[in-house]
Amino acid sequence: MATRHKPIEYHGKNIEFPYENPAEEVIDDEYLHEHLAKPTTERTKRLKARCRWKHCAAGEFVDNSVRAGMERMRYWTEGHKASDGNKDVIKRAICLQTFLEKCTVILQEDEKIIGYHAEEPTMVPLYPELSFLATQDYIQNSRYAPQPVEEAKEINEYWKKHSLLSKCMPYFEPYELERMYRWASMEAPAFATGFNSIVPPYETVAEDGLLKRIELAQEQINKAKAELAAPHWNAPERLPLLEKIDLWSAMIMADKAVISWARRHARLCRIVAESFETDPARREELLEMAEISQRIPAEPCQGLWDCMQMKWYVYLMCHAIERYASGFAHKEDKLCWPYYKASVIDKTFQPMTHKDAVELFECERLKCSEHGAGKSRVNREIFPGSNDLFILTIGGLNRDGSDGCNDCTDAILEAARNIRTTEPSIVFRWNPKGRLKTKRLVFECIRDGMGFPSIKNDALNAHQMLYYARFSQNNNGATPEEAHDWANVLCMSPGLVGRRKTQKTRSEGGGSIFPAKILEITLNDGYDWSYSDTQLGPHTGDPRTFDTFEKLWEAFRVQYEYTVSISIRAKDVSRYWEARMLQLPFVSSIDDGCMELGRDACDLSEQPNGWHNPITTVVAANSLVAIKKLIYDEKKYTMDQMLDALYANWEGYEEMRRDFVNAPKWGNDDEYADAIIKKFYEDIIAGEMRKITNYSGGPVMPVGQAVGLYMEVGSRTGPTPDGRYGGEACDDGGISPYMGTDKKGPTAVLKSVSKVDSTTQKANLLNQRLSVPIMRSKHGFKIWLAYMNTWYDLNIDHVQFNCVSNAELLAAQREPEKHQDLIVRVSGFSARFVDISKYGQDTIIARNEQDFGAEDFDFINVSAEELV
Amino acid sequence: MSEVVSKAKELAEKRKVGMRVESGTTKPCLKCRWGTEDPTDPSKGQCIGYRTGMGGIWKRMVHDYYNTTCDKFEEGEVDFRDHV
Repeated sequence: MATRHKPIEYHGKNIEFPYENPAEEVIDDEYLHEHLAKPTTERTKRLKARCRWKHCAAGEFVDNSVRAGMERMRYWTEGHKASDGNKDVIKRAICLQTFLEKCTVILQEDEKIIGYHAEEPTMVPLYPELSFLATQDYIQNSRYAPQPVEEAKEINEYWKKHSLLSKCMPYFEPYELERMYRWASMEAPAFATGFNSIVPPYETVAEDGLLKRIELAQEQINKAKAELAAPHWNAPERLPLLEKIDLWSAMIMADKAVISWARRHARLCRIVAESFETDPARREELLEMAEISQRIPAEPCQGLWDCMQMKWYVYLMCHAIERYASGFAHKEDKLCWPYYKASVIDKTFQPMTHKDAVELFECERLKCSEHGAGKSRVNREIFPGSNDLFILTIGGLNRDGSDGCNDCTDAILEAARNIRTTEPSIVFRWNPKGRLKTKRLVFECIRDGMGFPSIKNDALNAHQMLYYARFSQNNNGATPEEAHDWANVLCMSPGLVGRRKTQKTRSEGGGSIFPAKILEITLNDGYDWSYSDTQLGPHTGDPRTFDTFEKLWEAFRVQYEYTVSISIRAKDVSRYWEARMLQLPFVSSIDDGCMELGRDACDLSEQPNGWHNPITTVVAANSLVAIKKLIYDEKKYTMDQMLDALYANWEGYEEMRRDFVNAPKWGNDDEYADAIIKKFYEDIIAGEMRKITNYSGGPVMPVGQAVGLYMEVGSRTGPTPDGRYGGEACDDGGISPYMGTDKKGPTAVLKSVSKVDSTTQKANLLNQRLSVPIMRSKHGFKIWLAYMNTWYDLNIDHVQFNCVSNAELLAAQREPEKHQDLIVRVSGFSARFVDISKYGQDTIIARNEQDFGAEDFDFINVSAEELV
Repeated sequence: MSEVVSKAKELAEKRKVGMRVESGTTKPCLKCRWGTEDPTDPSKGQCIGYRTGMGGIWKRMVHDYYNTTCDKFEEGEVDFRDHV
């Protein structure tokens, strides 16, 4: 039987909490989530049942059949060798062309959206041109090394001279590389891991088609050549045109190659339809798919099916073929709306019902679920239970300030709720104008335990787009209208979407630093005794000589500043080389800015979007609070005593540990803790980072979040003064209280979080866990809606929810095979619970399940009458 | 070297409990079920075999993944559920 929430006495009324759906009262708490999936059609049910999931955990693929493919590295290398002597940008286009001409194309049963990026759907491609270290990691693993392995070794050897990593390394001292590579105080640079993210300008492909983009590039070449040949030669003005001509030529090569590749899919569909398919309905479908891939992405999209296929081809190009990049950043409802309208409402092209549209979105979710990223080991460690960071955005406002929610938004949410897959995660931009019908669907996804949509404050983030626009180096940042066109680039950070000005590389924004470890080394004069046995930061002195808390604070500041500076320097060195040897001719061709200005996508940054992720901030902050209180204010212990206790991992110091555990903690609306922690976020975490100016000429702002790094970094961090033991997980995200330490209910958390000025941070993740019996009760939506409206009024950037009981989580730990549909929110992504290590699972179970009481109802303004 | 750094180094040494470099060892961390590659450079590694009294996994870095061994060597691969 399901647990029903106990009645609550509220303003003289006894509020009961019967389930909204009475049928659920007979479902055992332990199996609730296995009853919630309802694929919209038999097709998506079959596709889900046979999906080749590529979830990773602990650096490995959970499914043993996943292998590294050979084709991408083979053909990319072949292209690189064959193009010797050409300009780098042309070489990149030739590599792409070689791969797209020779790669295997794949069509699978039941699919409506097609395309894969390796030779078999169980494989993932590799990218030795980015990092030979990441490729070496695959090669030395007998379980999934690319075959034949000798060929892979030879190819990787070739790239040791030509990769991004080899270009960037000389600008750092060996000890600097050592410090960065460890993932202890900071994330290793992208030039070593190959990790990347991008916001593709899908809109140009949807609206123009690639044939039009080729025409535009040719026009630019013609104009440039005419200018070169004009009277009165002027070298400084005209010689830069040579590079532009090369780029435009490379764009044309890339676009032609992509059109041919899509048309190879068209031919395959036609061959299967005409020669092999026996089911007449599927034969017709395949012929329609052949017609779509013949037309798309060469020509503009006309209907929803066109748009969905276009998106997948462009996704594969930008995220998996031209270069690996995580993410699925786009404002999906806005991008698809004209095509949804044409197909579902006007029925002028590819006519279909709303239900057909939902099926298409389910098909897309399953394509994402089957996608395999050939990413480095660390990136297989830090998003446990998922395959990659697929995160799309919906909701918010349109450019004219009207509600951005539409029927297409609803179809996207219905698909997510019905099919239940971890990917893609959804971000919902919360605006008071957003329609209730859509907010109800957002609630249903959350209530059903998907962990998404994660919710972002629409106005706050649109405003942020305008702030960054001020730093545009060509005075062409976001206009007030364009500022409404934003989506999350990855888990948390917003960036523009649209035909131009989108973020093209993670060297602009992304990467992380780890304040918990930074505090640990601050207490040891920059030395890391607990994991790497190396000097990880500058010498900032022996903390036993710090006679005031301020001296410790300033020592931390120095360590933090050092870590931020070297991290951003590494990103900008990457960027320098990305623009010179890792150009993106395809991405450039679909960006209006790159097309107009003849500048590569890695180089052009019309809208700066600098950010870096402090992860484990709350462990550091709670530790500083405990030190101030117990060592400097109350003088109950000396620094020496505390260090001895930490060095012993608190063993033999149990009473002292209790004092440090009981010191005030973040998330309880505690004045003492909150004052220190507010200053920590604003003065150090944001204050120091914002002093940096990056490649694009803008500031770098903190995006507090966690991914799975709160576990990885926790396991590499010794005991900390908040009472944490060595190796224990750190805080699970941004501005979220440390697990189990927010003891005063959901509204105390909101009050603490709202004390930090949101405009000083670029984003800050807030994880909350809601009571299942409350959310599934007949009052669930009313209570949640009131909570959300209060959250918005408090000007908080973000919130996301787990809505799953410990009974179910513990049952899944015992019998994982019976809980394949159990999804949890880890941090900026959702994961299949049984595909996470026990260490990680325990961190979810340890989060406080926030119940609501009468005081909370008062604070969020729910009237007793509404609940009767 | 400051006193605190000396102390930190001493503690780091203590954490290695039995880990030693033996050039060409047939029992390298690379083949041990408690070893896993370094997040960035696969010639280095991480030992996940050290469990705290509370059951947590407190990793230790292995600077030479191909030539380091210890008495707790166990050939095989760790299940992801026993990992971080």
